[in-house]
Amino acid sequence: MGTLYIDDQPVEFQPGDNVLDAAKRANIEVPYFCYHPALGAVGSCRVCAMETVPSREGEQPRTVMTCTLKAQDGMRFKFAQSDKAPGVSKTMVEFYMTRHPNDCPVCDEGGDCHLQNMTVEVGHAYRRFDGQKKTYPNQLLGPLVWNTANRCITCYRCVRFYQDYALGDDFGAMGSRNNVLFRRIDDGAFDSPFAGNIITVCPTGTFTDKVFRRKYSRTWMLKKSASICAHCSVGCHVEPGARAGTLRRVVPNENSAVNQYFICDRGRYAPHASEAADRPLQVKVGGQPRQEPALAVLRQALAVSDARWGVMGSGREDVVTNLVLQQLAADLNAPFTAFTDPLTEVRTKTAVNLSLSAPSLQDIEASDCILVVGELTEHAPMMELAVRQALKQGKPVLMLHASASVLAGMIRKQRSLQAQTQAPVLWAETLQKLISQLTQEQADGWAALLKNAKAPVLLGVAEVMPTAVIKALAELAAVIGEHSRLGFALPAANSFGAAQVSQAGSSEQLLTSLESGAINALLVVGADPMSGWQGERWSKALAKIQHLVVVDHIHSATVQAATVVVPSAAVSERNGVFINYEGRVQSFAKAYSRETPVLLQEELIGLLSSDARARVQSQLQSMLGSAMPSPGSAGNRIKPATLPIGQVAEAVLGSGTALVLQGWHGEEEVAGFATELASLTPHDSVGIAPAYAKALGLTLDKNSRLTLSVHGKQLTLPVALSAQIAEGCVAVSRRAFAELQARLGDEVKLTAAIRLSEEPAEQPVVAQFTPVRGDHSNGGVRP
Amino acid sequence: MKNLKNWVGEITGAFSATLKHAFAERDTVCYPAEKPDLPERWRGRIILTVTPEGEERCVACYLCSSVCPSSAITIQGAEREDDERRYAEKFEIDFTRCIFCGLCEEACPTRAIQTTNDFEMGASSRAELVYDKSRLLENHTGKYPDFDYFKRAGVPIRGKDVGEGANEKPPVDVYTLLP
Ligand code: SF4
Ligand code: SF4
Ligand code: SF4
Ligand code: SF4
Ligand code: FES
Repeated sequence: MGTLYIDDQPVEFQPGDNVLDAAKRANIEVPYFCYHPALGAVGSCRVCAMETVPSREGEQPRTVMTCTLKAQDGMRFKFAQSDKAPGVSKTMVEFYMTRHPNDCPVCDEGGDCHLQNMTVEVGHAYRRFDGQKKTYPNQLLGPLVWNTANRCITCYRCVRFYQDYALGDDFGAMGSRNNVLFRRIDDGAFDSPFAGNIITVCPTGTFTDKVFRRKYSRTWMLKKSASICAHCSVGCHVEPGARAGTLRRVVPNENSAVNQYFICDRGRYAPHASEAADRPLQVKVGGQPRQEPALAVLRQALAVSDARWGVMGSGREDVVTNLVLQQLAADLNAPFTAFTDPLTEVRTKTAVNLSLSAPSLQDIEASDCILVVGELTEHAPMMELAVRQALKQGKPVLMLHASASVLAGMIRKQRSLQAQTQAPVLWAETLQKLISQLTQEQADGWAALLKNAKAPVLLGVAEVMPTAVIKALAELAAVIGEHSRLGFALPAANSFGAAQVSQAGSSEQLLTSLESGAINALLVVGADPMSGWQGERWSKALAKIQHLVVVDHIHSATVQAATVVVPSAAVSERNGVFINYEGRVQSFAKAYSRETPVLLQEELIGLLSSDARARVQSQLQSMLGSAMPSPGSAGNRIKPATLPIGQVAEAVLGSGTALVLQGWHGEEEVAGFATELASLTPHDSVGIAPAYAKALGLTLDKNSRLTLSVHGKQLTLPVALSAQIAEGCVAVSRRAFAELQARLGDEVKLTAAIRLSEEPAEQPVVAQFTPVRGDHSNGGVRP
Repeated sequence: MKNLKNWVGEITGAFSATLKHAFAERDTVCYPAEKPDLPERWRGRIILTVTPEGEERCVACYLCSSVCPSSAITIQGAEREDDERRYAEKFEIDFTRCIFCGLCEEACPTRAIQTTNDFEMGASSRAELVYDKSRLLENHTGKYPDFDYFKRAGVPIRGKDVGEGANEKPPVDVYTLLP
């Protein structure tokens, strides 16, 4: 804290502020381009000028760049009163504008453009330069980002984000002298899961949102709200913008608690699933459209006389909805679960129980040694971006993984990253070894790094970690000591909340009741049991029953099988409360209403008896405390009591080959329906390490195909050779898992199939996590 | 006394003015048999105009709808399939709301929206007074015979690539290292 003076006005500043920060905090409108709070100052645009006021006799006033000047107590500047500084800014802006195209009316940035604002602010209204303008070729950057190169003012923010902040390497400043431009070497989609942020940091319309472009609207006309991203358990703050009842774009909402300035591409583009052409928007009973209000139809459906009900909530529905469903189940005397897979339920709950001191993203950024278990990028992208911040500072990041991951792929460039590729069944053993090294005080290697760290952070991906590994990681954290922090990426946005409302073994119980015929009707809200890990079992069980009532906003497999479909609201169309992986309770607000009314999940409370309503209220009170966080606020963290957990058999170490999951960062239940994002889904392939293939006696090359057989089901896929796949494992996508009706860790038989010599070489070779560049050949259909 | 004089003066003055006007030439015309002669810059029925080449001028920038004090204009923009030419997919003016202030015309950067000196817009229902694009778009350039915005903008459109617009140099060679 301290005070400096601008035009004799006292301005308070925080430690670490530069003069520009302080001025902005005091609402003094200093122009700036290249400075960004997350990317730092480089002092290259020369626009944020102020004039110093000499403090000593004989000193001359100087024009300085305020972004590069640390704020110090008692500093004095002239800004508006200065004779020189505004002139410097104005000249610079005029200079930038000499070759700027007359694009404002057709530029998506118009009206929300930093360059426009600054140009108006410095008073540069008319172009004096009447020479010829330099132009630059545009580049096609895939389905998500649009490039108009002429609009660039070379502030380097995009590169500083892409390379320096997000550690990407397929985009950069190209050319020389005054022919600098910002692009990829080849046309096509970005490799980085965070590429969309260059749209946000670019102060001009050089990079714009290509999805927004299709349904463009001026940003001031958009209906916006403080919402929370629903596409992974990090719970980033986002701001959806909608117009005329349709979602147009999603941008990060600045906040200090979770994601600060950025979001991942999944968070930016997956919400467009709400605009999918096949989204259910009509109440249907037995395939026939109904005009009655959704709630009335639900009430009727629940009142059928011969039905014995079961109720299913979901980790992607909010806390209140799950509580309401739980109480509805109590009213109906029905079993309830918020999980579709018993194994995931056990793993999630185990992780939730151990997450009470989970690190925030800032804690991860500031950590000096991070151990990651599982493919973090593919499950919680922004958590991984936080890991990159530590990596960037040369802090050791240790990684244990079984399939190809963007993070593990950085090992060649990032010297402080150490990745060990190993089958998940062996992870527990590896962690136990670390534990014994730490307890026996003979630590070297990873154990030494973890031991000597001041703020070690342990991160796991609950969905792919056997329960024993989750527990071992917790044990490791305990052995390292109180100062270590342990967190888990959970399977869905509100998995933490869903775990609180489901009883031990609830999903297995619901499944067996269905299979045994104890219940013959199911109400599903916001879940898609038929395409999850137990898809096959659910499909068989649900095929037998007469009443399948599904409330959802995507055209999922379960919706397609439903007897009654009730369209519900997407996250930006409603209010609610999510609990993120840290146990942080965050609420989100509705941005817009659709033209055709859909059921708002909060209306479901209308189905309850008054008793049940009171129970919902009291449970909510005991779960979240009295103060409900307001949308956009940091929320508060809860520390719930330990959850009871059921038992479930996990895969054990066998001699055969185990199936592991090959995820990708744009993948999630809802995201699959966002056409543009889903069009980047990598081609299905079977990942195998070359050395392991050789050990199995398989001669494989990039044109080979492998046939996988599990429990009598077969699937033939092109081979993706990658040293990032663990020995003893082959990695396949969720879709392949579903097709094989297999579960994580299942044993698989491999046989070489016919070669695909005619097929273009690139297709199978591309490492699986890399989107096939500029390729839309799967027509944007979901995987 | 002085008061009385003023009073008489005012009355006679007023009567003489009335008399003078009673015999003066008439400004009123026998509308509708006779049409009034309105100046070019009259702010009447609003139209959308086209470029000299006959392409729609409006680029759906939403400036007119944003400036409109009575929110009479509704737009949804779109982009042509094969180039970056923007146009209004939907353009509606609700003339029951329009107050003919002309701000939309002033705001339009492409000279697309223009007021005309037609005011005969009687209709028997409100719905008829909501003009959609087919009733707004006219196949002429209006008051500006030469203006073509896309010639001046930087975006490439059919027949004009990057670097071929007014005042533009051909695009730089990205791959050259020569000075
Ligand atoms: S593209 Fe945008 S962010 Fe990048 S240098 Fe140009 S103006 Fe700056
Ligand atoms: S990291 Fe997760 S919560 Fe954050 S934007 Fe990405 S998908 Fe959404
Ligand atoms: S003339 Fe005025 S009121 Fe009428 S549409 Fe234009 S801006 Fe709106
Ligand atoms: S201001 Fe002109 S170009 Fe812009 S939307 Fe209106 S009519 Fe079209
Ligand atoms: S913002 Fe200070 S020089 Fe660019």
